[in-house]
Amino acid sequence: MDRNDEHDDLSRALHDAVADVRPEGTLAQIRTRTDKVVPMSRRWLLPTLAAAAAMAVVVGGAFWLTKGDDAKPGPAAEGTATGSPSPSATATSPRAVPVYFVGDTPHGKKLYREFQTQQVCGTDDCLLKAATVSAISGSPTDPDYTAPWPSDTGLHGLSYDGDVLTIDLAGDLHDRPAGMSQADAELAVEQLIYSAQAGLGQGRPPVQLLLAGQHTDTILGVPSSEPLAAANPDDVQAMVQVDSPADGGDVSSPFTVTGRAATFEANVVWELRNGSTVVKKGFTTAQECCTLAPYSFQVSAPPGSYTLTVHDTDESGQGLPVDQDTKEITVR
Amino acid sequence: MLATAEEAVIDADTALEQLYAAHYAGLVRLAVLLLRDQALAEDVVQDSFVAMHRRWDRVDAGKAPAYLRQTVVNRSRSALRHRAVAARHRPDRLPDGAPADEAVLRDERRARVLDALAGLPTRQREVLVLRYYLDLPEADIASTLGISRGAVKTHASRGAAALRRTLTTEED
Repeated sequence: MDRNDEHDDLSRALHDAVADVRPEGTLAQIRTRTDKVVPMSRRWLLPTLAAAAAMAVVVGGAFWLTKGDDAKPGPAAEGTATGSPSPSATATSPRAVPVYFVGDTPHGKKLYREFQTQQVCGTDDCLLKAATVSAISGSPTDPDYTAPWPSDTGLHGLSYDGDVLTIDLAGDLHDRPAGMSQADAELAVEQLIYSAQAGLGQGRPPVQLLLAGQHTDTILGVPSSEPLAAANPDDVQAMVQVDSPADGGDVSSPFTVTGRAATFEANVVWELRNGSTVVKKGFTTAQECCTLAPYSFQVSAPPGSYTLTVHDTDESGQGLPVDQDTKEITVR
Repeated sequence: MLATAEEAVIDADTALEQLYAAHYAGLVRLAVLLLRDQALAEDVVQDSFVAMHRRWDRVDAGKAPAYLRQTVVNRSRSALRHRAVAARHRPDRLPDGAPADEAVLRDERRARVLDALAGLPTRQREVLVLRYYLDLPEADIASTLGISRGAVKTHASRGAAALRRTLTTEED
């Protein structure tokens, strides 16, 4: 049997194995699920994209290779500016930078996402760089979270070729530092992968980590010779996360709380406390059950300082700790 | 740089309709090979279309089929992890009436392939399905699964050997 026959016999077997599968789902079923409210992630993106209208049509891996080209205003920019060039790459504006940090949960340490408002230049690669730098050397806004990387960690370089995102790190990072557990080290690597992928905004390409420009067998003792895929979000991310408002944020009433949760039957419960007094409480459901899915709800409250707690429910009835995220906020 | 502008202006609903027509059935079959469960496969594929629709402003229209495929593979992997729990609540599909003898043999043959696939380690199964069912080149398999081309080669040769061994043994 030659090579082609060998390919063909397995190919035939697999095609035959599903030849009798008659899909029963319909487009209408999918439609009923896409007609829901505009999801949280898109609302977040709108201001970002508006700030760089010409970038909105740049898709795929092209942007990195063409960043040196003179950016021409895209169709979206026409009519808004009279022949003026698109925003220069050096001009900065406040942008929501996605970055993950580490927090405690009933299931051990997990990743929480924050959107940090930072002065960032206007192109896609500026956002990638801001998210990556924040992941390895930034500080969480929420004091419940911690930054996992050693303090001398730096960034040498970043590139994306359309397939693999390469992050070149600087610092004494080959081995796991004393006092850092294996699980902590693995979570730090996931935190960097997730943050960089979020900053890139091109899905979840594999991430190749380098150390001082060289391939390295480990980073923090975690095998890193090959490009790494992000772990499943349901395994490494906290099951209840608040994206907005941020900790320490000022809001005006009523305000919308958005985030992601993977909770029992998609139920998301919240309380707004002033000291130990519950001022408001309620519940909502995430868009999907049992996997991290967006939720949002509205809260109205008189001016004051509050603690907002969003959490899962304890279905065991035994008073077990539940997944939660808390934010200190001020209603103006 | 702006050559993709036309693709980018396809709105999410139109894209969903076109991609559904072109790819839904194929993706369900792909997921059946990975999951050995049609009901679960349809759930995974529908979830993937919903996820793509939700993120349409960040998906390159030209790469949407690849994006969908990757989402289906990733979500199938997650679904397998959760299935141990779900299996207790989900009754098996009943066969439609009593089939003729020839049909029984055919169904047995198909079940044997699906069983053999289900018995492989997850990565080997994924590589085999992408290679022999979708005919993807090695580089595309590597990027879909987020592993190196070397790893694709290793999983492919081990998986193919194991699958052939199982299929031949059971035919004897």
